[in-house]
Amino acid sequence: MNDTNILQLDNVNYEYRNKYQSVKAVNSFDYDFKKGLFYAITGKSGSGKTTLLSLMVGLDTPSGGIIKYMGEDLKDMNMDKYRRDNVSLIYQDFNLFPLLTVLENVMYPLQLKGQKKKDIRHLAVEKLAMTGLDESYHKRYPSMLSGGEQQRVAIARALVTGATILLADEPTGNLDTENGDNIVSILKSLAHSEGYCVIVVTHDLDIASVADEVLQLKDGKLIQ
Amino acid sequence: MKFIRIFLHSLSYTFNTLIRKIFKSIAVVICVATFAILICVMDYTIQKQGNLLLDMYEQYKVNIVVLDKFAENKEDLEINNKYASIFMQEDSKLWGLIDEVVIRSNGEESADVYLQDDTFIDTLNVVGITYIPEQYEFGVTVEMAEGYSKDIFMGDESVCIVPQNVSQIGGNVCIKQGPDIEPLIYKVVGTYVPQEVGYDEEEANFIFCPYLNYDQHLASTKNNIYRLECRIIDAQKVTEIENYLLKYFIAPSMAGVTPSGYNELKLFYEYSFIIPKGNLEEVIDPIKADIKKLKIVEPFIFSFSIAIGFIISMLSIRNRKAEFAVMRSLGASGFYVFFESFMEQFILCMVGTGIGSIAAYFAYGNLSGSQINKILIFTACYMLGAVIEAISIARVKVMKIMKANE
Repeated sequence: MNDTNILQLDNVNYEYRNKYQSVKAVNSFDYDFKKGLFYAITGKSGSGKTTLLSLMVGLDTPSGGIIKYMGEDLKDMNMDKYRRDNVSLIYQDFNLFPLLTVLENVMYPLQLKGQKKKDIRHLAVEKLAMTGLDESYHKRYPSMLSGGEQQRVAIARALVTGATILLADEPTGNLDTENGDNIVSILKSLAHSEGYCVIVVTHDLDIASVADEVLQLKDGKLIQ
Repeated sequence: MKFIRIFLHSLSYTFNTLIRKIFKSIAVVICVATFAILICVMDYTIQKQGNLLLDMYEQYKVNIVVLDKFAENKEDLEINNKYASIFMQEDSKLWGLIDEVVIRSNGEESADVYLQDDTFIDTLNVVGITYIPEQYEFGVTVEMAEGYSKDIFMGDESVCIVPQNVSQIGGNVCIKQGPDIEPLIYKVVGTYVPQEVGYDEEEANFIFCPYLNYDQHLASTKNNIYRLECRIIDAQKVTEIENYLLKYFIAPSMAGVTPSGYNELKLFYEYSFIIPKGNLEEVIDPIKADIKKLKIVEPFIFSFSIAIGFIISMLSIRNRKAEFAVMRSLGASGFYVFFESFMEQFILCMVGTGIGSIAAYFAYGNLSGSQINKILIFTACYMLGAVIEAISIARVKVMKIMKANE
């Protein structure tokens, strides 16, 4: 294993089955993701991007092949713990908890780990600052923020867990160009400056153009 | 410690959600409380009507009166002594269902009464009787010995009530019905002062013995029952008693038409009976109809309450699928998500049913076991709805929800 390899997908398959048919959403996907790089996974709707994302984040298990995190097969790991500690997901529509303040939203994943509130507050403040949100935002509710600000909170929430892999599903899909560009630059700097492995699933060619690696999917297969 | 902190965090999130969605929480609590009250009201109304019905039955004392086969109340019915067993024996189906049994003989048999030293006192008419003779019937006012009541006349002991001038209470008298008949000794348990009765101013001159004793030792004929009546203890049993009596008597509606064959006493059907109910049915039927209607409506109200509870809990959780899906994607375990979603509904349900129960308690002064049971069933159904939905949320396909949300 290359020491920068963090997530290895080895001949991964995923098949949706129903009463009448089976569809291969991910077909023999082979790839090694490395730390410190910014990846863009592109493809048309139904090409298997989101399915691939859910496999990498451990929300689904592949019907064939192996996914390894730092050399360890995900099948042998506790998936809840894997999601709490090693991988974070950023959504297109932010998915913040509407009844929690910005600071509470960022602290939530750490409280889920059983950490003391007083011990994690400074960490949450730090991650919010990394995404450009100062103290004036801390007590606001998500509904009081713009789309771009909400996505920054979502990124801070993803970072606070200490995860080394950031998976983002169309993170700029609901943002205007300016906010979208800002988010992309934050994600890119997280990869290059902080050493995160950032994997973005997107339709947006602009994101693909700034990515270190672009993976194109067609019918569940990696074609480029 | 870590587990406790996670547990406390979960609870804090639950309370946070409930407080920040205060109007929604209040709405659910009010809805649950309303149904709890509704269940109590329905149950209380049925119970109240039931109690009213029981009161009515208790207030109405219904008698059974035996008449001749034409349903006429003859002066002397001359009923066969076997009929007494229907009303007086412990193995009879009427035992426990009737009281105030009035059986007496016609008092035409006479007997010579002596003291135990063979001193003749008087010749008296013997009356077999199951009750203490009263002034209106015999022209006597009886004084009973201490420790004796009318119950003594339901048995077959050799006791008697005699005129005061015959013997003192507690004494014994001998009864002789003929020169060749062995005298019988009777203990005097009551005396009376003879009074003039009726227009013919005949003086009362009776010796009263328990009917069964009379029938066994003193009666000169088997058809010795002059009058037969009793009272039904529980008016609810009227129909049951009526049906039973038809084995022995002609139905009142069939009076004059004698059924062929024998009755259960192996005697011809010679007597009828009536149970004068007065306006009992007029009073009771509307109450019965009300109870019937309420009992028809109650399962619907109850089922509706349960369905509403079930639906409220399901909808409350289902509307927040995305929120719980995010928890899963952040690493919350399935159990954590189950607990989180269930606890909210549990708290709302407990508060709602608690408020409803307290309101019902203050409204009615107490809660009956039946009301508490029904509230518990309602709570259990609400919780079942919450559990089903919480399980489905805990097993949710996160990405599917997220994509659907987008």
